[in-house]
Amino acid sequence: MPNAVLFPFLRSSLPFVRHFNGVQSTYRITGALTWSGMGLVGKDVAFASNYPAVGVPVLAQLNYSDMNWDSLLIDYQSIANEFSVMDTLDMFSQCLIAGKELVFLCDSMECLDKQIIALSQEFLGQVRFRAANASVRKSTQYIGKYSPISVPIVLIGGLVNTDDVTEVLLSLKNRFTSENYHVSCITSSNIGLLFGMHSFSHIFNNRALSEEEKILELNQLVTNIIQMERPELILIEAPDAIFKFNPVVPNGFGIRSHMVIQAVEPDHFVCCVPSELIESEFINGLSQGLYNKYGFPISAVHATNDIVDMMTTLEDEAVTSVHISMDAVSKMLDKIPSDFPVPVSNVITHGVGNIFQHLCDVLI
Amino acid sequence: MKKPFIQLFKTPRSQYVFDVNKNEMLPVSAESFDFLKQCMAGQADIETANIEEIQDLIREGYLRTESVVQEVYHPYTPYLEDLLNRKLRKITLQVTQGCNLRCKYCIYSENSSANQRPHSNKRMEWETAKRGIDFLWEHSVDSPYVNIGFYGGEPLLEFPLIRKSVSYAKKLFDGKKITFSMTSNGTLLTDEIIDFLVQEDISLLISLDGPKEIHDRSRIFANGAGSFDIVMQNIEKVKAKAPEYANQIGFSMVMDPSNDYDCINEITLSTSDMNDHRFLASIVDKEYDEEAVVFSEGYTWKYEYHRFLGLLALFDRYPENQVSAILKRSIDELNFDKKGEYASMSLRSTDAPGGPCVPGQLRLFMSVEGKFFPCERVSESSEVMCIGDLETGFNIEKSSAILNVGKITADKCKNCWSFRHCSLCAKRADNNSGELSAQFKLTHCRNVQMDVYSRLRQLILLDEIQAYYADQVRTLREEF
Repeated sequence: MPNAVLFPFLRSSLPFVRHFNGVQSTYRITGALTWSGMGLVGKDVAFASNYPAVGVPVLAQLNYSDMNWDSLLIDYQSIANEFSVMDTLDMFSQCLIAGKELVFLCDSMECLDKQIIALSQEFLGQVRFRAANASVRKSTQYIGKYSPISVPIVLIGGLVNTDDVTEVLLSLKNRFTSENYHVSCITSSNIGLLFGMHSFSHIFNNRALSEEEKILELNQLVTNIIQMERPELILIEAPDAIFKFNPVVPNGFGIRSHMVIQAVEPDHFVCCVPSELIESEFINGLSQGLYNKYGFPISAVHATNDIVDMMTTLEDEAVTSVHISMDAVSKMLDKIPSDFPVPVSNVITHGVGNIFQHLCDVLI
Repeated sequence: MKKPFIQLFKTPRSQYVFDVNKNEMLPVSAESFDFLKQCMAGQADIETANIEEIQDLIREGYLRTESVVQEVYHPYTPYLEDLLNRKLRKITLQVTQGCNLRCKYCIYSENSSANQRPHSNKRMEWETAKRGIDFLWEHSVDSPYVNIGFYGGEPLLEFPLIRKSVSYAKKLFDGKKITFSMTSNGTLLTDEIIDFLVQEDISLLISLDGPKEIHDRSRIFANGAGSFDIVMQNIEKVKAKAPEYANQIGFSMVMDPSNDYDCINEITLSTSDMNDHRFLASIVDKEYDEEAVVFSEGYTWKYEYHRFLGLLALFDRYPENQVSAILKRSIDELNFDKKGEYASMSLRSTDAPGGPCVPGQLRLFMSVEGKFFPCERVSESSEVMCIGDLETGFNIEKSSAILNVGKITADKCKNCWSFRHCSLCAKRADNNSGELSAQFKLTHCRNVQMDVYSRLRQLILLDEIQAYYADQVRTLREEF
């Protein structure tokens, strides 16, 4: 199995790195490359979210002659960085000259830079592409139509934008799969394409589509997945926060998640909530609010280790968090009463067991 | 007789009760207002109220007679280490303690308080600056962007160090948004320096206290000559070389309120574009000198008048570009508060008064020797304000004491109506005695309460204008 390095490594990629070697068997991940300014170089990838180490180091540059890696996995939609002077095209060329494989994970072939296509033609067989818009065969019968979804949908989202949503999604996918359930997954990152998952990145990034057309495309994506994979259950990642945070910090108004909800009408919702906010009155109110607005309550809660940093949040008018230690999260979870209305846990320290069990109880 | 935990507000059009526990401003009838006023004067008991509106409010959990705050403890205390280890946003490097000016009010001057360090020619070594930048890199993984500030003394006395620091930091932070800023007296802006500032887009804040007669009264060279002319010439030089960059220059203004406000404000009218600049105005700081600041009538009333014009501009009733630039920031802040008031929380059983920031997280200040302070405004000779250094990192215990400055006056704070809106940080409890002083902190409470009262009243008035004068405002908007 070839050893691979992921580029660029962002905090949002951490769940994929954590689950990488257990979920797919094409590559073994040995390193994660990112820009030096991220403050991660030389540390374990898990430092990005203050998680327990996973044994994958963060690199600032590639050693092209290093025989310990064979492939560079490129999250193409994330490589643009206006604050970097890194010459990515040169880096790709150097990789190919050194005989390494490049795997581009992208929205579509059309979105790729022409010079990358030229490189793929020059170094035949060394460059591969996985495009989100080609992950499923499109049936012409659904184009432009809205179809009711016939398979139970579990939406996983957050009260604020958090990468833990992907962590919960991957943990649940693994658990359902290990229990022999046939599950399909949709995530917002194209890295998921390596895991047999689907991505809706190409739909949200498509500026040619109106908002209404995006909702229809999302609906058609799910319908085509059902046709092709015949899943018993579909897990979907909410692409942004589910609510406006407050009048000063709109938090994106949860608009993308709203579009996903319109497209698929989820049956259950697993909510990632900053652990400091986990109180029964608050969760009950949140759940009731969701039920009134969308028709589904909160089925389970994952307590994240994000603490909303209110001082910078108000100053920047955007939610920013700090990642507290997992010990601090555990202490807060210890205070949760046994009669709490829904199962609450942290999937990093406690596993996804009780969220999985609760979903089984309500679904089956 | 029991008093409700409230503060009453009256405007020409209506009356309100501010419920401290709920942190909500409620309009009430004149009858309820009068009754509550009697309660506050000890002439009536809230528990015997027979006014329906009051009874409804009590039923809904308002008008409680005690503060819900049981313990004064800042909610970020358990996460302080994570905040400081992972989310620094800025470091301000004191590249030198030397200065080519001898401003009369300078807190570091020989005549000033022993509570501050004296003038000196100490300079930051490159190794110290580099380690400071590395420290920011190590401690900002959760920050989406960072800023490095250059401060003095007069930072441009150490231009080669600044240039080297910027170059190093840009490489180190490749891939993350990084900005640079500098506070300077503006006297040393050579062509080479201007080119560098423009090229690196360094946000420049120049000290300017007013027109020549006011500026030169305090901001003087060692030989006693005023610095106004050279500062203005340098600004013109920047304008000629890089007009767009020059437009972004901000001015740090230390106002001595013994002067007439109109005289201070003349500087904003001195050139056609001066009023378009960003002014960060503050009142001369005599805290560590233990001296009182004198406010003249010519300052107070004219300041209020200009502020009133600024408020009118919020409703399109006065041209915004004619609002005194010195006041724009405070008007913007009020406008922000207007939105933010709905975002602030009710009191909780464990809570802390407003005021302190997480010390060092937002604007860590590093002295020439590599000592850490919460910001550049505190005394560098204060033991309690030193929250660590490059050798040992953050001193969490001392940072926690600064964050929890409310604890030293817990009993007073718990029962203070401006608990949530307080603005007192540890600086106001630091009399350089080696520990935070409750007594010293309490001397500031009355002023803070007056400020909070005034601010909340203005917020009410802003709301009332929308409601009572909506037709007039709409008409004027159309006219504009």
